[in-house]
Amino acid sequence: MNFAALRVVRCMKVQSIVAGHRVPHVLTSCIRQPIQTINTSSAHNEISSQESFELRHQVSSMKKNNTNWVMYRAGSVGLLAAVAGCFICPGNAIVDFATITLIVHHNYFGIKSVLADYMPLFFKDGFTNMVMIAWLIISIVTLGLLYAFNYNNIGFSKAVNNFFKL
Amino acid sequence: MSSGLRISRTVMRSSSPVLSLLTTQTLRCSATAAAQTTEQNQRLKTFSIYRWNPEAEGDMKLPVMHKYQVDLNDCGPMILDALIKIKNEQDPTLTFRRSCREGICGSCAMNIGGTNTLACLARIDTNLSKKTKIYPLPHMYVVKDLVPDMNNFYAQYRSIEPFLKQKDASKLGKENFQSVEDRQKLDGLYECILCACCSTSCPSYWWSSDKYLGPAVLMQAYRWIIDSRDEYQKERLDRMNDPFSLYKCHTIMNCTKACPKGLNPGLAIAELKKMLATHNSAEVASPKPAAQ
Repeated sequence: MNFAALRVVRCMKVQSIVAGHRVPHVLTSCIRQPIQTINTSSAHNEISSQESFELRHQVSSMKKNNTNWVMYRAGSVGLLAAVAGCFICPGNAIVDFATITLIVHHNYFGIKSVLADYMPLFFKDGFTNMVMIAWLIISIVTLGLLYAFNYNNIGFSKAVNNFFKL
Repeated sequence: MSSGLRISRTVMRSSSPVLSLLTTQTLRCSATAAAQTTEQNQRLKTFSIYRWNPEAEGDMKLPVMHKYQVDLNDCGPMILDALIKIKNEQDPTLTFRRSCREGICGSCAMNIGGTNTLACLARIDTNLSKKTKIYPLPHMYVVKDLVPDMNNFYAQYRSIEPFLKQKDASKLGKENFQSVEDRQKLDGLYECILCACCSTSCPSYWWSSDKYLGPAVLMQAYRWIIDSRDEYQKERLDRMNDPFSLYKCHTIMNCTKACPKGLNPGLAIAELKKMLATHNSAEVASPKPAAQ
């Protein structure tokens, strides 16, 4: 994060706002002019290059984050139900596959969020993106291997059961 | 000492010149006696205060903790009283913001004993064996001593457009009616004094303060979204729909704990997330014409 550039950009923004407030003879101009409607909707406002840098993550956003958030929370609740199901009916194939899928889904987005929080503090954007892709590949491989284990072997819930019996 | 003076005045008014001479002699003795006892009865509290001067030279360039001792017998009960006393009597270079001294302006927000509060509302801990540590608000650029740079915070507040916006231009100049129930929805939201105690207590805001808006600004965004008089609800919600502005909140809840006015920004953010869950961004981008 370029602190010096941010500071300069912020200073410029403050200066432009302060300059805009210097209006001489405010009262007289208010009385003479008719009331004008101000259109403040974002579609009509032009965005300066300075602002578009500061709002870059909003400008480039795909606007899917609200539905993403719903998926994460649905996945968390579903995971609770799936783990409960694992205890209730241990060998059930559907419950096993559901548990695996939801665990990998929950893990993937959870660690992705942690990486998104802390990686940009220490590393450049390019390296962070590489680590994200690496995590995606690891998650897919994990999912594939767990599916294979579930299909070929005794099943996820029974395997965990045996593990704890050791 | 002042009470001694008061008594002496009434005595002197009703006394003869000879008697008045005697009373002045006794007054002088009692004053010195009183001075000796207050020195012995001093309750000295140590304040360890963060000091940094941007114009310092050489080895004074780094921030440093200065210790000051204040007699609590001669000081008001709040931390701000102690800071003003130190600035008046011991070190005039101590720099901090203050204005109303009653917890309504939000100027004196700082980190006292590890917690972000207003100095005018934080009582001095009278335990003399412990020292009180005073730092500026955490993870903010420091202008000098206890003064943080609030420009980023204010720019974020400006970016949510904290004013009433209506689409119907004919409503301009007319009173906006609001029911009692709708007005009650704003209770607990409008009282925010923008002191930044909550935002600067949020670890997520520490790590992403350029992109995450922080609990103070998000609570104000919620305040304008649920205002029944405002007509830009969908657009305001749409402004939050990106990875950072709102969704960097991981419900740490430091904000609600830190608020010196007892408000609940964490709850407001949760309500925002709930409202966004059923929000359709495509509708805002290309609005359908209203059915006639």
